[in-house]
Amino acid sequence: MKEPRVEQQPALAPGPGAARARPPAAGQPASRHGGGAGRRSADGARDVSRPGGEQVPPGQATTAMQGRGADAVSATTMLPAQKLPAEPTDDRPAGITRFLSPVFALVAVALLPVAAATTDLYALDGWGLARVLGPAAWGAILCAVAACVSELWARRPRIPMLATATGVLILCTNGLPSVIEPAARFGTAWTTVGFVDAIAQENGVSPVGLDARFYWPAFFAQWAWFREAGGADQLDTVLRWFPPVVVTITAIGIYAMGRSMLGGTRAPWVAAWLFVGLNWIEQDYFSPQAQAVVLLLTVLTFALGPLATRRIDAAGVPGWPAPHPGAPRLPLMRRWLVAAMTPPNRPALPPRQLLFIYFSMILCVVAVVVEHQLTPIALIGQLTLLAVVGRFRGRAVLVVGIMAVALWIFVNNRDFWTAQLGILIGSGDTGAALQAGVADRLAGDAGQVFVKQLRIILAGFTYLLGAVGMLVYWRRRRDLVPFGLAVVPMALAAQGYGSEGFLRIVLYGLPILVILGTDALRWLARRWRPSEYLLAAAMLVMFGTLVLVRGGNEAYQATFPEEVAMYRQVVAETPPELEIVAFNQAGPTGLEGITVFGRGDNIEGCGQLADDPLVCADKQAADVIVNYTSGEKYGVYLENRPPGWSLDIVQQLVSSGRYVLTYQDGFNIVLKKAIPADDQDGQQGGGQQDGQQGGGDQQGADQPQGADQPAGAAPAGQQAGG
Amino acid sequence: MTVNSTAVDTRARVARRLVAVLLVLAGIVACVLSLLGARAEALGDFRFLVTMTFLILGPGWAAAGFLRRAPAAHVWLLAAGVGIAVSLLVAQIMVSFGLWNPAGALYIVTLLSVPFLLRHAVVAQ
Repeated sequence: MKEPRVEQQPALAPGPGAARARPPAAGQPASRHGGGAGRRSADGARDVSRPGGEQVPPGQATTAMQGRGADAVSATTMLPAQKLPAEPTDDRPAGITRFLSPVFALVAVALLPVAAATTDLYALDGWGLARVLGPAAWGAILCAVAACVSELWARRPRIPMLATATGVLILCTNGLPSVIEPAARFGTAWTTVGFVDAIAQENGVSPVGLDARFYWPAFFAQWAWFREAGGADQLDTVLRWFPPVVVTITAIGIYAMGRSMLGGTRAPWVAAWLFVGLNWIEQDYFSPQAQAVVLLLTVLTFALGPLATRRIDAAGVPGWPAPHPGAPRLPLMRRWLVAAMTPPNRPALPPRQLLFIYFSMILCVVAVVVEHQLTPIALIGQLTLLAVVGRFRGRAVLVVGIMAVALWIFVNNRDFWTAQLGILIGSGDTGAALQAGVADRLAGDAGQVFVKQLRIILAGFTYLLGAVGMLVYWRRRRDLVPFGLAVVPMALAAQGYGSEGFLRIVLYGLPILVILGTDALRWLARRWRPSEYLLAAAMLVMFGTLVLVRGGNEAYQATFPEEVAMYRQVVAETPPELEIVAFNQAGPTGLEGITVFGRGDNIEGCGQLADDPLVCADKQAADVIVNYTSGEKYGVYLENRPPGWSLDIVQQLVSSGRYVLTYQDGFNIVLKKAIPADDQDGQQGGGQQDGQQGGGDQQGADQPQGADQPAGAAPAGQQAGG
Repeated sequence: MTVNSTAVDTRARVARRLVAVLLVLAGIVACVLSLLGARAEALGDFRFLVTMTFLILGPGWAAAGFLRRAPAAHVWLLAAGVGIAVSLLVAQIMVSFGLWNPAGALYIVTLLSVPFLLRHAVVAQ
């Protein structure tokens, strides 16, 4: 009988215990990253301690590095041990290289204010942020990448320095818009903060009639709570810095998961950087899904780390696929039987620690259920896969998750699914979802189309890299399950969630894909050392591309403080119950007052007022119409309208006599419904019924082209648009 | 013979204790400023920052402190995850049961978290 194949890595990934056993570098503590509880003897061979001090025969030893803090009494069924060939030690002198990373990081941070000062955001066009960035911004990105690479190449990478360099890298790439733009970008983020405001204004009542998202109010309530408890009036600063903070927390999760799945001291950092570099999806803005991904990653990290188990054949043959090319395939029935009857081995953790981690995971699972619609589905799918193949101890967590979803949707949100069953079950039309999520998005000018094509290429590259990593992982661990975790979210496409469904699929698969991709890159670097230089250059290209792709929509996603101030002023001056409608979806419309003011009904043919201004203004019963610089650019670069189109619409509306211009600063415009002359006389005669409104309206009627400045609005420092 | 140094562990323990102490202070300061109703320009911003930091990390660190001998990344991830989860669930409970009282919830979370944080400040895992 053939000897069972020896794994190159420990079968389990019990957190730090999964780190690859390698001889320590000179002067390095033996257990620093090997992480095992067992001790090394002087020659580097491993002593496996057993209760009672008995020595285990070599054939029965386990790889088996017990997690630190492992319960030594617990029996495990880990795979047989092996001795890895000693890797050549790196004799490169430390020299000045130890100062390289800190210097690069400092220079990168120092360049950021210069980048902010030299970037003309009003010159943004269809190519987005990359087009207007100056040398300082690109220099900051270059230095941030250099800080990471130089530390990774160091003889003994310092974890605090790598962490700092990673933080700088995030700030200089994902966080670049937060640094150089004076207000939070993305109209949807401002809509979300409007939902938070609604909960705060309603004293904790979720206005479910306004929007279906209020059926999952936890995120909005959470930030309303923070806002009220912290005595803040608005969350503008939180909105601005939310994306880099969320990416940082997610990168910590990727690093933690990478430690469990990849081992080593360098690979987990590369996985984190790969995640940052391929995170073009922009789902990290102030939104429920951004936080939900943190929760999902927390659960997955512990499921694949400290709670990881592996169902193995007691005879030492892991089953299908064949463990090595020459191995005879076992009969199918036997494989099933063996798999079914072999209990998963136990995580090397004390029972109290297990219970504690279960409790924490359940908290996260329940929280994600009440926070977001899609994330719990993806998470439960991934946990189900792990449970079915026996790679995860803690199926009770999965049961609790399924029960929580069922109770939440079918009991708590009964009104939602009975009234909107179509949304819940989806259209099931994957083709339509593909059309809406991919093909329909390839619109706009040449820059827009190029950037969007680049997104599709990046998504394809991510899955391709993950697939190559799957092969490498299979060769190393005989394990295909991780790739399955990246594939499971694709089931969301069958639900036909809508145009954002595909973004979510990539979002939920990305953490696993980058870890597998890192395995592929590590395999390449070990096979062909000069590839390290190529990979360093590729990292630079990747982050440059990321800035181009993430900032591709910046022309109409960038929000300016004067736009925010203008909308707040409109809200302050408009009587309750009136409709405040924007030309299109760009800009910070709805950032507050959504329970008091309407935002236009969703009428067929009038998806946005700009489609047919006179007709749609009537159909939507618009009392106040607003437009922003971002709205103008939305039309120009995404809808291929001629520059100045929004001013033409203003002209149409004003000349129709139905609206008067009450405020204009470039393309930031407020129009109010004209009051008929008889009503006007009545109001003047009978005193102003709506004191706040009256003044503004009358002034506007007198000065159709005037620029009566809202109190909070900044003067037009720069002309918008052109 | 290789002797494992405990220097790294000690540094990690000190860091974990320090974070626990800072979070205790943050919780207390947040509650005091809430009671005082501080809304002045700089003080108001400080109050919001401290309150938000405590509500996100305080309960999470109180829980993550029980994670034994885990790498820092696992501890921080669990702290963030549990902290976010707790704040989401508390907010959801306030909404679902009509118990909207942001300041009261802050005091309760502080009251429940601080003893555990103090414990972690003294006995770091």
